[in-house]
Amino acid sequence: MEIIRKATPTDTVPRWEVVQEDCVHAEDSQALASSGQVTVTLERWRAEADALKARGQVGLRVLGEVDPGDYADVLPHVDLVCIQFPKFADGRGYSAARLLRERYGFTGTLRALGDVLRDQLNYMARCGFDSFVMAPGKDPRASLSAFEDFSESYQPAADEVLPLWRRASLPGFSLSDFSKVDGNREGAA
Amino acid sequence: MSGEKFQVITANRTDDGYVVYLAADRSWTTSFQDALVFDSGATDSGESLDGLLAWAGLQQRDVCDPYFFAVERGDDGALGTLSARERIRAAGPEATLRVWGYA
Amino acid sequence: MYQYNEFDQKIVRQRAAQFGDQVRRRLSGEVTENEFKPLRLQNGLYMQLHAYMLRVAIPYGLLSSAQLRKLAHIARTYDRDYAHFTTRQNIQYNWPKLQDVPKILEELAEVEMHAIQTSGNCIRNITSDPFAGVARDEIEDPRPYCELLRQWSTFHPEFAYLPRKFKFAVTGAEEDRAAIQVHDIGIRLVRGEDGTVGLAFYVGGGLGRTPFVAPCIQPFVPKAHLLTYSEAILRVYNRLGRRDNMYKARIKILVKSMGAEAFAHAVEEEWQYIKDGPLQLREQDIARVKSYFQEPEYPVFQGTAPTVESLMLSKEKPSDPAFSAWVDNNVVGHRKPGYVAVSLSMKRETLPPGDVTDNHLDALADLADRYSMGEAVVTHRQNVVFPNVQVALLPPLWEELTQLGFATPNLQRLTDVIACPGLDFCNLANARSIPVAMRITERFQDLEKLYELGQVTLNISGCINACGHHHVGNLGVLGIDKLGVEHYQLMLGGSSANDASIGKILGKAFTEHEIADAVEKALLCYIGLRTSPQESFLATYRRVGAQPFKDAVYGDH
Repeated sequence: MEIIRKATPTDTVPRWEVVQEDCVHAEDSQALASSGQVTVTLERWRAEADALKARGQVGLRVLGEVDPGDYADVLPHVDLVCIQFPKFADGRGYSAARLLRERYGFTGTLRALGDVLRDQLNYMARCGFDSFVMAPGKDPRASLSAFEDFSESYQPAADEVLPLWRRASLPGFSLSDFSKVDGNREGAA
Repeated sequence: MSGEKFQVITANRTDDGYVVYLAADRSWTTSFQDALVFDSGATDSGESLDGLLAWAGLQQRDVCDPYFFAVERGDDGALGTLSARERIRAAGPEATLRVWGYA
Repeated sequence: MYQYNEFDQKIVRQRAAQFGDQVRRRLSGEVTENEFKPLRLQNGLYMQLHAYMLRVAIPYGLLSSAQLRKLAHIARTYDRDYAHFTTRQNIQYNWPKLQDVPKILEELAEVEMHAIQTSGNCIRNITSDPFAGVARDEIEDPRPYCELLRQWSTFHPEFAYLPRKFKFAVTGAEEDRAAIQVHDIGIRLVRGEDGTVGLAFYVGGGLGRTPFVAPCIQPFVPKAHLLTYSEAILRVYNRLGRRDNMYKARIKILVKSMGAEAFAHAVEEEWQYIKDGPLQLREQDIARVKSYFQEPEYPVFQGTAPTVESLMLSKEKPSDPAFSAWVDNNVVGHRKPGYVAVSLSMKRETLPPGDVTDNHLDALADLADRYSMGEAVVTHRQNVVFPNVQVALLPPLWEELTQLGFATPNLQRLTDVIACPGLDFCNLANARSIPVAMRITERFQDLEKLYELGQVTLNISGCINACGHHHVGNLGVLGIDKLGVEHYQLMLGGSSANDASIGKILGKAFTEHEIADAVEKALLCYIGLRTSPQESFLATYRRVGAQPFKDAVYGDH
């Protein structure tokens, strides 16, 4: 499976790449191979938590409509959460992503699955997604330019702590100086 | 399938959104009177409404959201619409056209 | 008015470029119409009955003369020489070609305008009081708060795919001229007990299929929390609003089904997490935006400033009685002595309500420069306000407006009709609105007859979605489709002012040939019933109820 991910997770202005990655999104009834990355539903996690913790390489797979508060206790045990978008127009996954990053402090990989289209990528990234599987038939490489559509954003979100009007008032702020601002951001968090 | 006897296929053109109708040669015409008429779901040459509507749905580059609607045919063969919506689609926004002088 | 900085400028230019790429992909066949639809909608580009329609945002209705000229240029260059002012302080072009739209967006960006989020299930253009900044009954100018909301909501990554569209209106005045109680969120600037100014939040109002007057869920939110509180509301709505049925997806349905109190509680809970975050506005954040809305430098008058009263007694007053009628009707007080705000009526029998030509737009720009310090405001009643006119210049302004046809003294009168584009243009409509509006306007051309009726509003929508605000007209007309024939329901008793109320359907629907008669009968009934000429149509209706009107309108059927 091809996924889009941050090529340089630590850069303040990330670059994105397409890589091949194997990940089995296991149905609840499906036996898990002894190794390799898998994701399971919350129901399965609840039923088999101990075994899944022991196995490792298990991510959680939830619909965007599920309240992250319902699975906050699972987050310390997983380093991959996949949020499914059944339809691109179902925007609940955006709120879920922000809550995971900003309220529940999830620092693992946050991946968007389902009806993921090029022109949603930028919004998703701003909400905290750092990994994407494009909808069937959509070319992930051709979609990478989506991240370059905008260089500025007004609001704070998962990727940006301060609103533009506060960044703009920082001393020494100028357009060519974004890295410095992003540096300041760490402190502000 | 419509319960009405005659049907035509219509869409809006991708380039400018103008109302177009499917013509006999599978081109799209802005002239309602030149629309290909289906009689109870089939053309004179035996092509089906369902088949051509499916074909029209694939013409993504050229037209948007094709569908069919019921029409009536006068004794002289002229086509008429049965709904206010299709009458206005065929004729243009009358009140405004009168005011602004666009035909 | 607000001036874009380099970042604002960059954002609208990048948006135009982004849409250029999306259009290119659509025209190359790479992107299907289904995939393109949400992209074009986020840029205000609809597919209407006869063509594409581009809706351009006019934030809180405010336009500079340079922007008016650009709008004229766009009408002339890319469209059919006219455009349409909408009921939400936007302007629409009815005939743009798809490949031209990115160019139009670039042109708009040159004058700090855009079509961002004028459609789609996102936060739409923020509307406000047309007299914002000059109204005498204003606690504080609402526009800086509108501008902060505009910035916060522009490309908000979390709220681009809400259950349904989302509309804000903000007023700073005592009299509600922005219909805030029929918006998804209505914000009123209020004075708290200690004298500080804060924000009252009304949430879950709206028209459409299920009209509601919004409850006030929080009577006083500190100004610093304009955005944190809004973000909390939007997050609750985004997560809990219904997505299974588009007719039940607006926030009003959520508020109604949860109950205003439970909804307010959910917002409060969410707000506790984010209220102290970076969206909280500091004094200087508000002050910076306010600095763009500073009062212009009004000239100081020698001695006492001229008043409308002194003008009317002077020899400068034109002798034509039409001038007095116009001053009485279309001119309102200003908080600066020597100044007035003037409403230009875009309503006359020969024009669809809200329509203007390229030449009109150029003329408005020219007049705004010479009479209104270069600014004009479009109103949700589809008219234009010149907010800063010197009293002494009323006579020449009136003469010029008369020549243009914009001096009809019919503001808030029956012929000041609100009408949506209706089935002449709109893909959703069931019936035409424009011909009905024009027919009723024609019927009531006689000014004496018009004044006899006092202040009364007539709003017309071509379908249940209610873009013509028919529920909140004192008289409302709703177009419906009955077996392929356009029919019109008459409803009475609506209001969008402080005493907001939803009109009630009087009885069975009329044909397009009958509706003007029905309106006239209802009005004659009012004249017969009112206790004095001072009792308005609405007051009479509220006093006597629907029955006498039913009898009058349907009696001889």
